[in-house]
Amino acid sequence: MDSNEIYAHLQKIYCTILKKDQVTLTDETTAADIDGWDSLTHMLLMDSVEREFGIKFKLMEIMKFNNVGDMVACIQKKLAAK
Amino acid sequence: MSITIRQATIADKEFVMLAIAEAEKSGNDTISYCNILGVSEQEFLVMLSNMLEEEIEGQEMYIPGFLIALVNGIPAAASCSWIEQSGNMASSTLKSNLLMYHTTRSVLLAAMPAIAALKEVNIDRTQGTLQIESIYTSPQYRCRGLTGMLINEHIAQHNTSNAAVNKAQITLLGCNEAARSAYTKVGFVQVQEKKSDNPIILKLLFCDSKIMMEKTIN
Repeated sequence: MDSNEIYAHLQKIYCTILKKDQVTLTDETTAADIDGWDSLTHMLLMDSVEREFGIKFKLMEIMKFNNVGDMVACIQKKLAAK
Repeated sequence: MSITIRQATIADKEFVMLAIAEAEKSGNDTISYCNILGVSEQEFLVMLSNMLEEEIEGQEMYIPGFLIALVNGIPAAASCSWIEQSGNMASSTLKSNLLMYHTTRSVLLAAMPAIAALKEVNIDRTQGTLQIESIYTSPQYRCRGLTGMLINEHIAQHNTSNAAVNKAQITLLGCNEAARSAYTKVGFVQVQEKKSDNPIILKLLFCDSKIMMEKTIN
Protein backbone atom coordinates (compact mmCIF):
# COMPACT_ATOMS: atom_id res chain seq x y z
CA MET A 1 0.00 0.00 0.00
CA ASP A 2 1.48 3.38 -0.93
CA SER A 3 1.41 6.42 1.30
CA ASN A 4 -1.50 8.02 -0.61
CA GLU A 5 -3.67 5.00 0.10
CA ILE A 6 -2.60 5.01 3.74
CA TYR A 7 -3.49 8.70 4.00
CA ALA A 8 -6.92 8.01 2.48
CA HIS A 9 -7.59 5.41 5.19
CA LEU A 10 -6.27 7.74 7.89
CA GLN A 11 -8.47 10.66 6.73
CA LYS A 12 -11.50 8.39 7.05
CA ILE A 13 -10.48 7.22 10.56
CA TYR A 14 -9.72 10.73 11.78
CA CYS A 15 -13.03 12.08 10.44
CA THR A 16 -14.95 9.28 12.20
CA ILE A 17 -13.19 9.53 15.57
CA LEU A 18 -13.02 13.33 15.64
CA LYS A 19 -16.56 13.63 14.24
CA LYS A 20 -15.52 15.98 11.45
CA ASP A 21 -16.50 16.20 7.77
CA GLN A 22 -12.92 16.83 6.74
CA VAL A 23 -9.48 16.49 8.34
CA THR A 24 -6.32 17.51 6.50
CA LEU A 25 -3.38 15.27 7.27
CA THR A 26 0.14 15.78 5.96
CA ASP A 27 3.54 14.38 6.93
CA GLU A 28 4.08 17.39 9.22
CA THR A 29 0.69 17.29 10.99
CA THR A 30 0.82 16.93 14.78
CA ALA A 31 -1.89 16.70 17.44
CA ALA A 32 -1.48 20.43 18.06
CA ASP A 33 -2.65 21.13 14.49
CA ILE A 34 -5.96 19.30 14.75
CA ASP A 35 -8.79 20.47 16.95
CA GLY A 36 -10.06 17.56 19.02
CA TRP A 37 -6.91 15.39 18.82
CA ASP A 38 -6.27 15.14 22.55
CA SER A 39 -5.11 12.41 24.90
CA LEU A 40 -8.54 10.74 24.84
CA THR A 41 -9.10 10.74 21.08
CA HIS A 42 -5.42 9.80 20.65
CA MET A 43 -6.14 6.40 22.23
CA LEU A 44 -9.16 5.88 19.98
CA LEU A 45 -7.22 7.00 16.90
CA MET A 46 -4.29 4.67 17.52
CA ASP A 47 -6.65 1.78 18.28
CA SER A 48 -8.61 2.42 15.06
CA VAL A 49 -5.44 2.76 12.97
CA GLU A 50 -4.15 -0.57 14.27
CA ARG A 51 -7.45 -2.29 13.54
CA GLU A 52 -7.87 -0.70 10.10
CA PHE A 53 -4.45 -1.86 8.90
CA GLY A 54 -4.32 -5.08 10.93
CA ILE A 55 -1.08 -4.07 12.62
CA LYS A 56 0.13 -3.47 16.17
CA PHE A 57 2.44 -0.60 17.05
CA LYS A 58 5.10 -1.20 19.69
CA LEU A 59 4.96 1.23 22.61
CA MET A 60 8.35 2.72 21.76
CA GLU A 61 7.31 3.18 18.13
CA ILE A 62 4.22 5.15 19.09
CA MET A 63 6.18 7.20 21.64
CA LYS A 64 8.58 8.29 18.89
CA PHE A 65 5.94 9.56 16.45
CA ASN A 66 6.78 13.24 15.97
CA ASN A 67 4.06 13.72 13.39
CA VAL A 68 1.64 11.90 11.10
CA GLY A 69 4.46 11.28 8.62
CA ASP A 70 6.28 9.15 11.20
CA MET A 71 3.12 7.13 11.76
CA VAL A 72 2.58 6.62 8.01
CA ALA A 73 6.19 5.45 7.61
CA CYS A 74 5.70 2.99 10.47
CA ILE A 75 2.43 1.69 8.97
CA GLN A 76 4.14 1.21 5.60
CA LYS A 77 7.00 -0.69 7.21
CA LYS A 78 4.65 -2.98 9.10
CA LEU A 79 2.47 -3.65 6.05
CA ALA A 80 5.53 -4.46 3.97
CA ALA A 81 6.69 -6.94 6.59
CA LYS A 82 3.37 -8.83 6.57
CA MET B 1 15.63 14.19 63.05
CA SER B 2 17.79 13.86 59.93
CA ILE B 3 16.11 14.74 56.62
CA THR B 4 17.74 14.06 53.28
CA ILE B 5 16.36 14.33 49.76
CA ARG B 6 17.61 12.24 46.86
CA GLN B 7 16.51 11.11 43.41
CA ALA B 8 14.47 7.91 43.34
CA THR B 9 15.95 4.72 41.93
CA ILE B 10 14.39 1.42 40.94
CA ALA B 11 14.92 0.33 44.56
CA ASP B 12 12.28 2.91 45.54
CA LYS B 13 9.66 1.46 43.21
CA GLU B 14 7.29 0.34 45.97
CA PHE B 15 7.39 3.73 47.68
CA VAL B 16 6.91 5.51 44.34
CA MET B 17 3.90 3.28 43.62
CA LEU B 18 2.51 4.11 47.05
CA ALA B 19 3.04 7.83 46.37
CA ILE B 20 1.26 7.70 43.01
CA ALA B 21 -1.63 5.63 44.38
CA GLU B 22 -2.13 7.76 47.49
CA ALA B 23 -1.77 11.02 45.60
CA GLU B 24 -4.41 9.78 43.17
CA LYS B 25 -6.71 8.98 46.09
CA SER B 26 -6.34 12.60 47.14
CA GLY B 27 -7.57 11.87 50.65
CA ASN B 28 -10.32 9.45 49.57
CA ASP B 29 -10.45 5.65 49.74
CA THR B 30 -10.27 4.91 46.04
CA ILE B 31 -7.57 5.54 43.45
CA SER B 32 -9.25 7.67 40.79
CA TYR B 33 -7.77 5.48 38.02
CA CYS B 34 -9.70 2.52 39.49
CA ASN B 35 -12.98 4.43 39.23
CA ILE B 36 -12.20 5.61 35.73
CA LEU B 37 -10.96 2.29 34.34
CA GLY B 38 -13.30 0.08 36.36
CA VAL B 39 -10.43 -1.99 37.75
CA SER B 40 -9.57 -3.08 41.30
CA GLU B 41 -6.75 -1.43 43.24
CA GLN B 42 -4.73 -4.63 42.87
CA GLU B 43 -5.22 -4.65 39.10
CA PHE B 44 -4.25 -0.99 38.89
CA LEU B 45 -1.09 -1.55 40.92
CA VAL B 46 0.00 -4.31 38.52
CA MET B 47 -0.61 -1.92 35.60
CA LEU B 48 1.26 0.85 37.40
CA SER B 49 4.22 -1.41 38.09
CA ASN B 50 4.38 -2.35 34.40
CA MET B 51 4.04 1.28 33.28
CA LEU B 52 6.90 2.33 35.58
CA GLU B 53 9.07 -0.39 34.04
CA GLU B 54 8.72 1.31 30.63
CA GLU B 55 10.79 4.31 31.86
CA ILE B 56 8.95 6.93 29.83
CA GLU B 57 10.14 10.44 30.73
CA GLY B 58 7.94 13.51 30.65
CA GLN B 59 5.03 12.30 32.79
CA GLU B 60 4.54 11.17 36.38
CA MET B 61 4.88 7.42 35.93
CA TYR B 62 8.66 7.61 35.71
CA ILE B 63 10.74 6.59 38.73
CA PRO B 64 13.84 8.79 38.11
CA GLY B 65 11.51 11.80 37.93
CA PHE B 66 10.77 11.34 41.64
CA LEU B 67 12.56 12.83 44.60
CA ILE B 68 12.37 10.94 47.88
CA ALA B 69 12.57 12.64 51.28
CA LEU B 70 14.11 10.35 53.88
CA VAL B 71 13.67 10.87 57.60
CA ASN B 72 16.44 9.15 59.52
CA GLY B 73 17.11 7.13 56.37
CA ILE B 74 13.49 5.97 55.94
CA PRO B 75 11.43 7.04 52.89
CA ALA B 76 8.86 9.48 54.24
CA ALA B 77 7.67 11.57 51.29
CA ALA B 78 7.92 11.66 47.51
CA SER B 79 6.95 13.74 44.53
CA CYS B 80 7.85 13.87 40.87
CA SER B 81 8.48 16.57 38.31
CA TRP B 82 9.08 16.98 34.61
CA ILE B 83 9.18 19.69 31.98
CA GLU B 84 5.88 19.64 30.12
CA GLN B 85 6.17 18.58 26.48
CA SER B 86 9.93 18.97 26.27
CA GLY B 87 9.71 16.21 23.67
CA ASN B 88 7.18 15.58 20.94
CA MET B 89 4.17 14.74 23.12
CA ALA B 90 2.20 16.26 25.99
CA SER B 91 2.36 14.32 29.26
CA SER B 92 -1.33 13.41 28.90
CA THR B 93 -0.64 11.75 25.52
CA LEU B 94 2.39 9.89 26.90
CA LYS B 95 0.16 8.55 29.68
CA SER B 96 -2.55 7.62 27.17
CA ASN B 97 0.01 5.59 25.23
CA LEU B 98 1.12 3.87 28.43
CA LEU B 99 -2.46 3.09 29.44
CA MET B 100 -3.22 1.73 25.96
CA TYR B 101 -0.37 -0.73 26.25
CA HIS B 102 -1.01 -1.82 29.79
CA THR B 103 -4.72 -2.40 29.80
CA THR B 104 -7.06 -4.30 27.55
CA ARG B 105 -9.02 -2.82 24.68
CA SER B 106 -12.31 -3.73 26.37
CA VAL B 107 -11.31 -1.94 29.59
CA LEU B 108 -10.27 1.14 27.63
CA LEU B 109 -13.41 1.27 25.53
CA ALA B 110 -15.58 0.81 28.62
CA ALA B 111 -13.69 3.68 30.27
CA MET B 112 -14.16 6.11 27.38
CA PRO B 113 -17.39 7.74 28.70
CA ALA B 114 -15.69 8.37 32.06
CA ILE B 115 -12.53 9.71 30.41
CA ALA B 116 -14.63 11.93 28.13
CA ALA B 117 -16.53 13.31 31.14
CA LEU B 118 -13.26 14.14 32.89
CA LYS B 119 -12.38 16.49 30.06
CA GLU B 120 -14.90 18.88 31.60
CA VAL B 121 -12.52 19.52 34.50
CA ASN B 122 -9.24 18.84 32.75
CA ILE B 123 -6.76 21.73 32.82
CA ASP B 124 -4.09 21.67 30.12
CA ARG B 125 -0.55 21.92 31.40
CA THR B 126 1.53 24.65 29.80
CA GLN B 127 4.31 23.53 27.47
CA GLY B 128 7.77 24.28 28.83
CA THR B 129 6.71 24.60 32.47
CA LEU B 130 7.93 22.54 35.41
CA GLN B 131 5.17 20.17 36.45
CA ILE B 132 5.12 18.83 40.01
CA GLU B 133 2.88 15.81 40.64
CA SER B 134 2.16 12.80 42.85
CA ILE B 135 3.07 14.63 46.04
CA TYR B 136 2.73 12.28 48.99
CA THR B 137 3.87 12.16 52.61
CA SER B 138 3.44 9.08 54.83
CA PRO B 139 0.90 9.87 57.58
CA GLN B 140 3.44 9.59 60.43
CA TYR B 141 5.69 12.21 58.82
CA ARG B 142 3.09 14.87 58.03
CA CYS B 143 3.22 18.45 59.37
CA ARG B 144 7.04 18.50 59.21
CA GLY B 145 7.37 20.57 56.04
CA LEU B 146 8.49 17.67 53.84
CA THR B 147 6.13 18.63 51.01
CA GLY B 148 7.60 22.13 50.86
CA MET B 149 11.15 20.77 50.98
CA LEU B 150 10.48 18.40 48.09
CA ILE B 151 8.81 21.09 45.96
CA ASN B 152 11.64 23.54 46.61
CA GLU B 153 14.20 20.88 45.71
CA HIS B 154 12.42 20.09 42.42
CA ILE B 155 12.46 23.81 41.59
CA ALA B 156 16.11 24.24 42.66
CA GLN B 157 17.24 21.31 40.52
CA HIS B 158 15.40 22.60 37.45
CA ASN B 159 16.63 26.16 38.04
CA THR B 160 20.16 24.82 37.89
CA SER B 161 19.66 22.60 34.88
CA ASN B 162 17.21 24.60 32.75
CA ALA B 163 17.16 28.38 32.95
CA ALA B 164 14.53 28.59 30.21
CA VAL B 165 11.85 27.18 32.50
CA ASN B 166 10.25 30.03 34.39
CA LYS B 167 7.05 28.61 35.85
CA ALA B 168 6.15 25.65 38.02
CA GLN B 169 2.61 24.28 37.98
CA ILE B 170 0.69 21.89 40.21
CA THR B 171 -2.71 20.49 39.28
CA LEU B 172 -4.95 19.21 42.07
CA LEU B 173 -8.55 18.57 43.01
CA GLY B 174 -10.37 21.72 44.07
CA CYS B 175 -11.61 20.01 47.25
CA ASN B 176 -8.12 19.18 48.49
CA GLU B 177 -7.80 22.05 50.95
CA ALA B 178 -4.83 20.54 52.82
CA ALA B 179 -2.79 20.30 49.62
CA ARG B 180 -3.84 23.76 48.44
CA SER B 181 -2.72 25.20 51.79
CA ALA B 182 0.64 23.38 51.65
CA TYR B 183 1.36 24.64 48.13
CA THR B 184 0.31 28.18 49.03
CA LYS B 185 2.90 28.12 51.83
CA VAL B 186 5.67 27.53 49.29
CA GLY B 187 4.53 30.36 47.03
CA PHE B 188 2.03 28.81 44.63
CA VAL B 189 -1.11 30.72 43.70
CA GLN B 190 -4.26 29.44 42.06
CA VAL B 191 -4.40 30.52 38.42
CA GLN B 192 -7.24 28.40 37.04
CA GLU B 193 -10.23 26.35 38.15
CA LYS B 194 -12.49 24.09 36.12
CA LYS B 195 -15.74 23.02 37.69
CA SER B 196 -18.49 20.72 36.46
CA ASP B 197 -21.98 19.88 37.65
CA ASN B 198 -21.81 16.55 35.82
CA PRO B 199 -22.61 13.89 38.48
CA ILE B 200 -20.19 11.47 36.79
CA ILE B 201 -17.29 13.75 37.75
CA LEU B 202 -18.30 13.71 41.41
CA LYS B 203 -18.62 9.92 41.30
CA LEU B 204 -15.17 9.50 39.73
CA LEU B 205 -13.19 12.10 41.63
CA PHE B 206 -15.31 12.74 44.76
CA CYS B 207 -14.91 16.39 43.83
CA ASP B 208 -16.48 18.65 41.20
CA SER B 209 -13.44 20.71 40.23
CA LYS B 210 -9.76 20.77 39.43
CA ILE B 211 -7.46 23.69 40.00
CA MET B 212 -4.05 24.68 38.74
CA MET B 213 -1.59 26.49 40.99
CA GLU B 214 1.46 28.24 39.66
CA LYS B 215 4.70 29.76 40.90
CA THR B 216 7.21 31.88 39.01
CA ILE B 217 10.69 30.38 39.20
CA ASN B 218 14.06 31.50 37.81
